[in-house]
Amino acid sequence: MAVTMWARPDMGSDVSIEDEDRFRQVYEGSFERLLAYALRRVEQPADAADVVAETFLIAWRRGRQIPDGDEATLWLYGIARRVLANHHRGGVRRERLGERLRQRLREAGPADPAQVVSDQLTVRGLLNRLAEPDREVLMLSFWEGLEPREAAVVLGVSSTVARARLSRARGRFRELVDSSNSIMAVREEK
Amino acid sequence: MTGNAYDQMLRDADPQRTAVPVPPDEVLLAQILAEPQGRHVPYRLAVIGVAAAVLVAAVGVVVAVNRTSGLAEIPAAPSPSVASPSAAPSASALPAAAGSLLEPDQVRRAAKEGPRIVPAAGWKLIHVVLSGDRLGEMAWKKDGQVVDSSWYSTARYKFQRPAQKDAVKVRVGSLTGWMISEGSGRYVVTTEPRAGDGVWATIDSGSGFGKAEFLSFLAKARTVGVDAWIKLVASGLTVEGAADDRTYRIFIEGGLPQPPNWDHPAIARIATSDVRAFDTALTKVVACGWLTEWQRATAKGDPRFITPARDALLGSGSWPVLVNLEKQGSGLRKEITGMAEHVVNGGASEAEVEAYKKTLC
Repeated sequence: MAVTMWARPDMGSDVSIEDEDRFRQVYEGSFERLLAYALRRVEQPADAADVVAETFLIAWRRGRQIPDGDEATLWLYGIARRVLANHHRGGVRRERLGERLRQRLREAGPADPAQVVSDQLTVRGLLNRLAEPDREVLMLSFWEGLEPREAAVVLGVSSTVARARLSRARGRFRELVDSSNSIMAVREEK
Repeated sequence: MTGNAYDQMLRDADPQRTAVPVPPDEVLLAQILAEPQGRHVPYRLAVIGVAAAVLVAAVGVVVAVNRTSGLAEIPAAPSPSVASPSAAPSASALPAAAGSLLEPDQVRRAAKEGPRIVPAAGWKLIHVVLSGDRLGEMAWKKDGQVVDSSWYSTARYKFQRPAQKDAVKVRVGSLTGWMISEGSGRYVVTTEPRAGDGVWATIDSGSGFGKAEFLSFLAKARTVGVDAWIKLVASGLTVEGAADDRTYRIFIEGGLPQPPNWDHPAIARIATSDVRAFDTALTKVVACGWLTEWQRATAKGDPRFITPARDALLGSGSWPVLVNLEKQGSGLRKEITGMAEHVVNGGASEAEVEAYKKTLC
């Protein structure tokens, strides 16, 4: 099939309309989930704009490496995970992109702590006490709603390892909950 | 509790569980698609080219340069004696740029390329940024409501054009647009390409806007000529908005490293329209942030955090904003590099570090 090509004047590289249309579909289809993924993992909402911008920019530059269908979102989560790791090390490079999104998220501000019930905060506190691999597999499973085989793609491990890690992480989480006086007290009041 | 109860507890703790979805940001998409594809090259500004360099030389204003070419230069203080390139508006339209954080060449380009929409009185302009060739954005605020507008080149129009059966035809000054509802009280207008240069714009109500209220906003907005728009922007952009936009430029285009846990709202406290004073204050806040990060990282003894803090502090002599300030006679570069050397390599005591923080933070 003939594909229309044009040259980007700044770099001289060729980009097909098909590539652009496909990226556009991936962007439209994954944006909300990727932003939510980032928002769950940064302290300041505006920082999520940097993570999303850098993740999609990397994806755009990799072009045809983007997998098809739902796999694309999992692949993007995997990139975002590495971008976030860099962000938490203080090494993230803020892109000159996404300033409007950053502004919008900044306007929204962080969630009002008064609106969050105490056991939700306690659960998040317990999650933070888990090792990163355990915490991440729980978040991918219960917050992003991924199946173990999907979490495995994001984490770069086999499905077997992801299942085992999820099982271990759930066990660790239950131990922490059971030993947490504050959360048990909240539960008993209900 | 059963296993399901623990799982539900986790689901309930999701901070995004009740969040209002944020729809795909079309400006970010357009910016990414304007980037070169398929090569791992350092980020390069799309806006910079020979024509821009000529324009910069002509107007005597320093703007950011290609980040791949080494140190980017921070936009310096706007010159009150702005020359006028033949295609640009007259210099007489720019007097308000003096004593402002705005950069005349940026405003002029935005005026030439953008849709030059001006809302009714009471709407404060809080944001004007050029993102590329015929690509930019601005925002207005009133009583907590923010309206964004972005403009684009013709090439992007086929992707954005709304299906007209779902859209309401509106007029925005001299522009014709099509308004659609995005749900959650959010409305977006897409204007038809402007005759001549094909530039078109979106006007985004943000969430929580009533339809009648937004239609009223659109009906009261007007479009003006280049010179009139420049005058309105130069006098209308809020101090906080100008500070926000300049901070963005200094970080992103000027390559200033942003410290972890950056307290962006702190910028609003730097209430000045003097470029040199603003750059000085901002740089001190950044240096303070890295000094604090150095303390935190060394206390933890974690090299993953120590290394970026050390690199940032010892690299402060190359921060373009400091280099530019030094060219203007400031001694801040020497102060900060001396502090960084003493703290990182000189074994400054905790008391000495705290003393440095008192002068910076």
